Amino acid sequence: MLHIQEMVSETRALLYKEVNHSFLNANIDEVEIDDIELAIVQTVLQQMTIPQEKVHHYAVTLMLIQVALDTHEKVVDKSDEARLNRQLTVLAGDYYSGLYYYLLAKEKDISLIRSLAEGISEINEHKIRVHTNHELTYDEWLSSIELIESMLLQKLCIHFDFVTNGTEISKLFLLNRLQKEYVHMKENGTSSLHGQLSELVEASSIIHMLSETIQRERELVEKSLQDEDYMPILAAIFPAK
Amino acid sequence: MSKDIDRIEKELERVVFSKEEILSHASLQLLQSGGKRIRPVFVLLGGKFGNYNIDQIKNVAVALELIHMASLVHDDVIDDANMRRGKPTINAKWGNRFAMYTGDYLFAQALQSITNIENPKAHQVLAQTILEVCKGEIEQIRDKYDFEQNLRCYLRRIKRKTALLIAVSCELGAIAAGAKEEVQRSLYWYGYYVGMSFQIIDDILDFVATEEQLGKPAGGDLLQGNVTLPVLFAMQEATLRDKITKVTEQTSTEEMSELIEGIKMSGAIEEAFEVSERYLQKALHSIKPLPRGQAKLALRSVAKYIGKRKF
Repeated sequence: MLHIQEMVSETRALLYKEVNHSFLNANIDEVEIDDIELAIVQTVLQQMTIPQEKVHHYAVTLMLIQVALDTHEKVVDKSDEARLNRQLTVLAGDYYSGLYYYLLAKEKDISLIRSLAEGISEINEHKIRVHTNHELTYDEWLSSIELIESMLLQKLCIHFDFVTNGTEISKLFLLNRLQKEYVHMKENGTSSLHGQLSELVEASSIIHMLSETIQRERELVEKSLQDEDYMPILAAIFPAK
Repeated sequence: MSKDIDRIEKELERVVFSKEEILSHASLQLLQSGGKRIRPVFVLLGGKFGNYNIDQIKNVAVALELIHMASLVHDDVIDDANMRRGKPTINAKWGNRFAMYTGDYLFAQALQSITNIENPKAHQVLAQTILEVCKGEIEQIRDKYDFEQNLRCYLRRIKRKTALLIAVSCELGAIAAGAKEEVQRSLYWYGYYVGMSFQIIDDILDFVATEEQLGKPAGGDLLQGNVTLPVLFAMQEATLRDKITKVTEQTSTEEMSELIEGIKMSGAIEEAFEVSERYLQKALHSIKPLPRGQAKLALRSVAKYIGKRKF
């Protein structure tokens, strides 16, 4: 894990350099990078037969897209939010999207631009699905969340014909997201997925449902995960109390 | 040409189709609300100076129109706009979050379309332009109600806001058609100058067009703190400058009407028209080296139309 941690730190530094913009820095929240997501990406990239210098390039690109999409998640419907913050959050997300296209175009990675753009389209279709479809079942909702979280890396693997434990890796992304939501919900009584969940499950059962799902998915991953490289990631998602 | 525009229209409808019905519905509503399609027109005209193949060039035209559409959807969130071209905006109908997803979806669809062009230069040019456009939009917000800004600042902003995307529309059409490098450059500069002129006219119309023509009250740009060319010229007069620098979002309709009249009477509109006209002359000059033919005539007509448009 130490090697991966070093890679994570280096990619993180490169990523911050890319997104650096004085006016945005001064007026909106700092870009949030999920170290666990980055560690999953780095671990998979390390297993691919691509040159070391390209590993950072692809990790930065993938995380830039994630940052762009996550930035737009911060644009909410509430009208009492600060206007300048909302305006700049929209533009920052667009700017980061432009950056990932720029990085890939510079490297002439045209077919990868296509693969990742397909992934982004699918992610947004699923986001709209969970955002607007009030007739989804809990399992359909869960499957969409898993796709939203793992789609970009899946597209990268397909692009490089890299055969991996796709299901387990997708589940790691899902577990990471659900656990974050669960902790946030326990601490604050709500979370970004709370609204969607309350459409599917009785409000009083949300925490319980989430906890059960995490438990179930965790057991499945622990049973099937053969590759030891991913064990430290699983441990990072569920740190010892 | 109109046959090819129809093909692009159909391609746009195909590309925005999604298995999520509500997303298709929102995108189609935007598509069918009657945009001018100026970027696709410039792409097609640019393509006429190389080996024109509509099956290739349509990918560029579609991508540029989708990027424009995506930016409109996000702009409406930025401006809290409720209406666009007489219809409720996506954010007004489905909320900000939905609008963000739709814009991101359209942008991703645009990239898929343009990746049918394998020439790396096309992507490098477009990616660089997208970044510049984003920087321009961020600057526009930074510069709101900054009445100390100068002409250079304004010109740089409209370059990024409008002119660059029109310039690359022309250039990318030529690149996709494999036109010569010097032809690509001439077309870029033509699009750049036309774009500058187009935006200046847009900024003038904000003062001289009717509310019905604009679809919003006149003087809206100034009320939102956007310092445009007529405003910069009007501020050369001390009394007007004094009034203009006091404008805020809270300025009343009556005060704004009085101010708009003052700006119209000051000669600022005519001065702004002159600048726009100079850009149009430069646009016409930059296509002089291009080979004669229908496409060149069309570029001339477009430039002249832009100079005369009323809304």
